[in-house]
Amino acid sequence: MKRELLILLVAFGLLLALAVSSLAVGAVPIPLVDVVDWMVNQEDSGLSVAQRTILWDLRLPRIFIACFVGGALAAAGVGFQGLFRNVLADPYVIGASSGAALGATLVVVVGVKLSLGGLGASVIGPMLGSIAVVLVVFVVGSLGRHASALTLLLAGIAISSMTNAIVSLLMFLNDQKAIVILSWLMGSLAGSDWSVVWVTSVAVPLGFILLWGLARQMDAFLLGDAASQSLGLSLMQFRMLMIVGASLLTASAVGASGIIGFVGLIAPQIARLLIGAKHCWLIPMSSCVGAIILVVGDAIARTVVAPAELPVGIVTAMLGCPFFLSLLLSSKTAGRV
Amino acid sequence: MSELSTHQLHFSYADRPVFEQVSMHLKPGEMLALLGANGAGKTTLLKTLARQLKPTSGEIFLDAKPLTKLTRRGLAQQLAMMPQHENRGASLSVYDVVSLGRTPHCGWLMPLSNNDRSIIEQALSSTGLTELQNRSVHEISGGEWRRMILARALAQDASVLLLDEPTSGLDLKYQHDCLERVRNLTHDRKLITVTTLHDLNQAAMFADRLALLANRELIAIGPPDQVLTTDLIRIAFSIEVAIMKHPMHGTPLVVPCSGAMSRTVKDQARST
Amino acid sequence: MKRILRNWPSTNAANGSFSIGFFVVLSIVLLAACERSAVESKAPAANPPAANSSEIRLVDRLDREVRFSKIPTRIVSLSPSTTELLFALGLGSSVVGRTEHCNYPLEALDIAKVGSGTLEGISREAIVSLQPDLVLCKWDSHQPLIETFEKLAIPIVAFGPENIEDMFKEARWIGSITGHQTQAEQLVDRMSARLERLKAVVSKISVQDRKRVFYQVWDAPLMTAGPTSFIGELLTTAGFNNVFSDIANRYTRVSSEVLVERDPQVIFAPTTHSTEVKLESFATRPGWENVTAVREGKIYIINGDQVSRCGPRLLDAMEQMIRLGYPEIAAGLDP
Repeated sequence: MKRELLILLVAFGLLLALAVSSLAVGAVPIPLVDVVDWMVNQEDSGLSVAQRTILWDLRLPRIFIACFVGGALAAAGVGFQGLFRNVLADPYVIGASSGAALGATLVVVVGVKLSLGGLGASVIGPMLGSIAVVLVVFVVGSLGRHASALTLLLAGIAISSMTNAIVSLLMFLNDQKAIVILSWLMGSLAGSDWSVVWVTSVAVPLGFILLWGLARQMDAFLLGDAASQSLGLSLMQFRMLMIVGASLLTASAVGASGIIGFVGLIAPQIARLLIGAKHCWLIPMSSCVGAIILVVGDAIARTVVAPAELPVGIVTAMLGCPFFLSLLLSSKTAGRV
Repeated sequence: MSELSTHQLHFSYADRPVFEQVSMHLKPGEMLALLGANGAGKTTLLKTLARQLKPTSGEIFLDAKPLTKLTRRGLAQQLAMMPQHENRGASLSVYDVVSLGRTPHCGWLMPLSNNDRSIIEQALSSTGLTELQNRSVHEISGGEWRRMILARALAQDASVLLLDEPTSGLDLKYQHDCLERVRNLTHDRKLITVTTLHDLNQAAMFADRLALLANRELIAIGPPDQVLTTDLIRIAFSIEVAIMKHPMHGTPLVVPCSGAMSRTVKDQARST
Repeated sequence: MKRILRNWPSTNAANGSFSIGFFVVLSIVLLAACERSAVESKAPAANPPAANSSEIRLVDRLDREVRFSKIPTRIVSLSPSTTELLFALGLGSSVVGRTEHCNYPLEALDIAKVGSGTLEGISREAIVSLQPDLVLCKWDSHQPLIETFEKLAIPIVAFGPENIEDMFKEARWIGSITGHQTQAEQLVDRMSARLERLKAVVSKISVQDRKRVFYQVWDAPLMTAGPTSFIGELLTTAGFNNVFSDIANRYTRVSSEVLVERDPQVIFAPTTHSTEVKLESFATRPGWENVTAVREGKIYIINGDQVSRCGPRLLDAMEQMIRLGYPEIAAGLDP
């Protein structure tokens, strides 16, 4: 069996194992044997109503969303790192986070109550906002004769800053609602429920498959504009498809859980060190690593200072960094970046 | 098998013209060497043929179809370009980089087919890289790198090959190997190859026709004997040469004569 | 299409099987989600229409109608002022969950905690494990919790009085839901009477003698309470003129320059659980040495737990303010 496939399967298996065991962990500890009993016997298991409610309504959707959001952010990270040929790019680099913040703020400030297919405005607002700002950045950054990755990046920085300023202004003018917006911005999986699961389980695989299908072209793109053109890539079309795929993933992630940083930046690096730079392996591996980071991070976030909860972004940074550094410094993986 | 022709091709950067009225017609199985001094526009012409640069006026036809009508992907299936400079890129293996040559032919989300793999293996063996195929690209020498880029261009299985200084960075043996392989492939598979070269003698040995770019136009195009004359070389390169016959192959052998050197020889002749 | 089919048997089987595996997992997830939503859609019936006329309906601060068919006996309170209110209404034994900051009265410390005061610090699991039949949350910062608990069919009511009248109203709400209407009315009566007495004492101060006051919510950045907040209302009712009576937000940042220009005669600062407020620090701030309150040393610390919670002890805070700011009429107050 190919080496890369083995690594990927091990990672996927690890993810499944961690996801199941994190069902037992939380402010209210439920022994793992009981959890397995519940999974097998459903209604006939020996758990109390409260425990079953916690498992089904609170923890299980949370774990699904951790997997989807972690996987989405990691894959989007690979996408933007390939698009900008720079390993420092993260999913929010062309305005996805500021757009989501603007969407969330407008929803709260205007007081939108509508829902679409069970999804509240607090999920749809950020998603649409994210996509809208990325669209604006893409159009602005692609104008002019000398449009390139650099102009896209600069347009992203400028428009993000402006959008963030608008968000701050709106929060200032609406201080009573500002608290809600602020806590949303910090990113959390605590509000996860089944309606959010269904939208991420559709949108995230779509974006993922779009990016995965471009794997070979991403490899070619890294050789340079001229070389990739000579291999049949239409640069404009490629950039557009990449942005569509990666932004769909990012928008779903921020809609589901707010702005969680770090995962989209570091998961691709870890995956690169473990499985190499070829995108047809890197993309799924990155998603597995991102999902693992977020599942474990969320389990820790909701347990370590129980009954309070830590913002998950803090935990993922403290988990992922040492692991990444140890990989970086180990001789086996040296030189792979 | 395709025919490549250009008609009154002009190219200028903003206000500075690079070449004008370049017209040529290439048939399958033909290897053309593009010659000229530095800055004469050889690479620019090659890039224009590859549609990486847009000509100011004029047309390029591939099989009587204008090049501009093809999609990028369609173009890449018929025309392969080996650039002079390229980023090292990510650390893939040699095999993976060569397999990128199959990109214009591969479907979305589809892995490489057996046909793809055999083409890649052939390209690797044509360039002598079969043993290095699993090495990372950051661990190979400059010469091996150039051969890998050639292998990638070959893996594209295109009917037109455009090579920009394919011999730069290679030692003498590999220079000859490379040109010989390219010539054999061109003849066997009836490809069209256009290559820019600095070494006039190599061009004479391996190419079927030579094209000489100077003073912003194509001053000569034809078999080596016709193009490599002292007058034409003086116009194109501003250097005095003597033309001899290659002892083994009979092709023209260009021997540069430096002014200072010829004086020394005359002095020696006078003193003895 | 033909090319795909032709190539399929000879493609790298591993790549293909991975894709298949992925789609299988995806289908399972979708199936699970669909099944559950099918069950969920029956859930709204959990709050059934009134079978008898004794069902109580309540419209909370977010204009949400919440129905109660039976009296709640397991209450989770997510705000310190609400906890104090519940105890003041004699419902202390019904409270099964509180936040970390709910520290009054002392009996409250024995109740199980469900988190800190902020939204992200609250654990939904901990709340569910207490099996509450009523959750009282803050209307401004706990809205995402409302979504979760509505879906779980646990009644949740959004509270958050912004002035004393609101607090009376919410006391009556709680009274009506829990069958403690008498205790609620008694509390309201007691507090109204005390408020009248305090107002009577304050009325002895003539309009010209009303002192200019600055209430410091936080020092860096400098923040104060505006007239629309309940603290702003306290200050005015206690006979002071808030130097920042022209701001629209409840609590906002203000500039030192404007403060120095408006020259308050009295400064109040609440105690906090995080840092100690040092009286000497005020004089060291640039430009503050000339402020009347600083020169005359009229900077007073007030019990933060009392003044920052719009609850039963609010009038204690008001009385503190009157005693500190107008010592000459303090004699007229109850000892």
